[in-house]
Amino acid sequence: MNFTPTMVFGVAVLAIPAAAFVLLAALTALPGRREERTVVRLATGALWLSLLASVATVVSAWEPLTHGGLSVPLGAWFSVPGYSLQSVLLLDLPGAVFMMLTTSLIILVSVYSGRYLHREPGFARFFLLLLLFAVGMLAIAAGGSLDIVFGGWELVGLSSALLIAFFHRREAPVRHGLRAFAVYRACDVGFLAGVVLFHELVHTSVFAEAFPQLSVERSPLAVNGIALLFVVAAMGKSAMLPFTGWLPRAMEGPTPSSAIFYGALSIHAGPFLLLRLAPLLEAAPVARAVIVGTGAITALHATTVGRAQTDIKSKLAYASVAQVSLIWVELGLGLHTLALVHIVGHATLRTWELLRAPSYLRDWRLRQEVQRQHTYAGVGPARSRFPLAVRDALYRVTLERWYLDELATAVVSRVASALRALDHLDRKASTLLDGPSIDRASAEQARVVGDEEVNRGVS
Amino acid sequence: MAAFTVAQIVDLWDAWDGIPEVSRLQWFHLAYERHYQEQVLNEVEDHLASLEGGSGTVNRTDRSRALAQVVCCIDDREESLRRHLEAVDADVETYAAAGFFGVAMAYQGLGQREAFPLCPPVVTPRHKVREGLAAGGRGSRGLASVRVPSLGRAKSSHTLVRGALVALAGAAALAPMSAGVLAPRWRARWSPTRGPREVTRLALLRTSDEQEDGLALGFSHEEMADIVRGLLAPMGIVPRLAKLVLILGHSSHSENNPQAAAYNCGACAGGHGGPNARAFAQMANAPEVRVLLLEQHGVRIPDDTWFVGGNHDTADEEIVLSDLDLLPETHREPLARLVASLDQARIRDAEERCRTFATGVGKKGIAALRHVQARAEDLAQPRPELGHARSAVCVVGRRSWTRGLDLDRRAFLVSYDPSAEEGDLLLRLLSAVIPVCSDISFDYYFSFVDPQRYGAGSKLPHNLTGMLGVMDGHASDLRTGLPWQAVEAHEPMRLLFLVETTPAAMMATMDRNPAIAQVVQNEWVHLALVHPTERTIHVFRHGRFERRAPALARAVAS
Repeated sequence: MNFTPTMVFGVAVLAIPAAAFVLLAALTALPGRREERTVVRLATGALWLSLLASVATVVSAWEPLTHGGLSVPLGAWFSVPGYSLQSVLLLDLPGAVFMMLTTSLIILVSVYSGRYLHREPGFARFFLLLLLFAVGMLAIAAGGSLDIVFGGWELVGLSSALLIAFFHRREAPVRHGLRAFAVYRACDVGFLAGVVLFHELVHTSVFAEAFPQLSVERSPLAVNGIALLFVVAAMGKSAMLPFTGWLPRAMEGPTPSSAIFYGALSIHAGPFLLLRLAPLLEAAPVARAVIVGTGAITALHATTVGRAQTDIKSKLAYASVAQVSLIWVELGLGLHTLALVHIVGHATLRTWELLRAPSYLRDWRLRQEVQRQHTYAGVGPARSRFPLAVRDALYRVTLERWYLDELATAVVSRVASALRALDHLDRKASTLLDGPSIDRASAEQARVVGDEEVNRGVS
Repeated sequence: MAAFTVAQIVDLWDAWDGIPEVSRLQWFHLAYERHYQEQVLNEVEDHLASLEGGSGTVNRTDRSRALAQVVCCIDDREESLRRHLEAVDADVETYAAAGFFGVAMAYQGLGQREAFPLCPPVVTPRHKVREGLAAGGRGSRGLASVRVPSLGRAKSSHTLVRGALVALAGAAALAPMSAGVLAPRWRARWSPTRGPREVTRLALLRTSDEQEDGLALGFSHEEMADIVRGLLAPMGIVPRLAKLVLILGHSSHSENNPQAAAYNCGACAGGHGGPNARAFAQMANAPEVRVLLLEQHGVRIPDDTWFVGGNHDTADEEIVLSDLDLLPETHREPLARLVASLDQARIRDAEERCRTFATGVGKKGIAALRHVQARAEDLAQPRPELGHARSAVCVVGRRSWTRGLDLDRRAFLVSYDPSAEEGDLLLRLLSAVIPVCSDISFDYYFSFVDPQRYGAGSKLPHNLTGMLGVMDGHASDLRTGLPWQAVEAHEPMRLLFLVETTPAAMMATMDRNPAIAQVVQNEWVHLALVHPTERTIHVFRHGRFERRAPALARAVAS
């Protein structure tokens, strides 16, 4: 394996933040206090270097990059006799753009957070998770095989959920972080199944090798099925219907983390995945139709529900979803360049808006003065066109977010109660056969002992 | 205690253990407050003693006329500016009055659609004052002075189609975002509101009986005379008015701060004091008003005295003086000297403030000024200034005995001259000052002591909701009170009022105002008195005034 400059820079893009993560984790594990300055310099420095490395990568591989992309093999990371999983970097125009967008926005948020989170408990933890997120996003952007992309995908999901639950001493952030994580994991079943079946289909997960094979006529069921599995995975990350509920609840984290994740990057990981899998989608018309349909209905949902929101972060969350669903429609229709421009513009804009979310009240006042409006508009044009009863019904439906939460709760609670019933049957049966279980008896005893300790007075 | 035997110490310890925890905490808290009070009262006594002896601090009780006088707000942030100004220029005297300067008005600035009240919340304004372009100014309504919403702030990015168009061009937001995050001061210099301001005038004089929204437009000359007298008389400034008198209101400017009004002037209900200062100066300069003052109230303002209004931004230490184009030629030199002194004073003020900022420690001179400017302009700065944090004492009395005393930006200073007593000056002053200052003190006290219930908690998860408040994250109770970032530097103590008057006069005042009596006697605040002539200190304890024993206090404190 010869070490080309492109390969070195390409690996550096991922390796530098990863190394910074490990270093920072080690620093955090050491006893004693760390200076905030050290943490910020380490994190931001690593990200600046990563940005430089990505620029260097792009410059060094400009020719092949702009003409279809460059695949940089790094060797097998897992092999058994007869099969090996390759780690590969794929450098093409969308990936390079996304890579630089990722690093620039994370750098800005990191500098912002260095001041904003001053003296906040969990300062180092925030930057640890930010670095982990950076590694994940860069793996998605530069990953040349589905395995690497999946690794990045999982890291992004984990760091997202942990940052939503940043204020872990309150119940709501933890609950909402868990909800987001649950949605991610449920949808990642699609990703994992898709990867496995992809391997089955084309015997490789490396994009550069797999996509030429897809142009051959294959069973439409297989191709559409695999594509649909990836679509489900992307739906979870991009908060498409019916998985939209977690996104407004994800605004529990500190403002900069909300900005970077749900304004900028994490929410665009879904469309980017679809962009990467474009050749697969081209061979899967059913999947494309589903993408367009999902995007359209989610756009309708987000734009109507967004108007009824009473707090700024929820409004921005739904505005984000609305634009991302438009991006989905563009991708489903095959307008890849438009989608990429849309992603870049929207990510930048929404990050800026979310970072400035606390200024909304003052900006609104100033807008009132300039535009001479006095009242805050309610539900949009529907107000003037529809009769009162319809307007009220529309308002109620959008305020309740199309009753999706109730639907989700009903579904989940039905499934949960079914599972609990099964568990109960199982215990009854085993008690019948074996006598009272040891686990239950010892658990009871432990609880009694625990109560005594508490009652003795822990003051 | 060093003389106790072991057995006695054990007894003491057991007794201490037997006391309920609430009482123990209360005693610790009382000791905490007493520690500061002893320290401050010792400093005051030492300072008084040095004045008697004629040694030490510069004192302006001599009869020569000052070069200029500056009337600030009673705010504790102005204490350091006044101290530095007096240190820089010995010919400048400073005074203080509530930041609305007696001008209770609804003010409509240039380009603003509505008039907002600029007076304490308990006062309902009955006059409306508009700012308009000066004669010969531009025809437009000064919209350039209002920051026009630009990319990233417009509501249009929330909708679907218009949002898509805005989002497609969204990469343009990278420029302001990078500038705002990486170089806030640099970005502020290019901001549209920092350009040259148009020449404006206040429509202060009432010319007709016309009313708008139940408010009279402007003030009559009689009302103006009342206001001017109401401010100047209690301060004892009238016999010694200088050639130049600067009335300095204050405000604060910060970015990304929904609780920005907490840093503004409390006497203006969270607004700016600048328009009030400007209005007062205009009133006091009007010849008709001066004639009325002389004839009806016996207040003589020298013919060569000129009043100038201004605004001090406590976050970035910017001082803006208004209506300088109306300044007579004869006053240009004193003004130039005052401006130079103010410039020096604000740099020293910035230096003093930088000592309390983790990233600003050690900055001197212009670097310190730049640091506080950057803090005020920085979106990512949750602590643009400390506000009233660390406020602990309110001094009501003449400046002559506090001049030169370093109260560490912890004191509200109110100018009051006991010898100017006529009627119920003290009563009226304390009826305003005690509620205002103690309310500010309680705001910080309770937000510090219980940030979850009384305070707003950390700013980080705050989410603007309903256009009227903040909540935490996705859904929570409205978070009222001050955010933790604003109060964490505070020391929660009940405010100590130090009033220059006799115990008899104070008791009489409390008898006449039950609200003051309730607050003092129920120990919501501490009260100490400095005798105007004898210079003894009496502390209010257990329902009466006790003479403070200096020697014992000194021994206890050391």
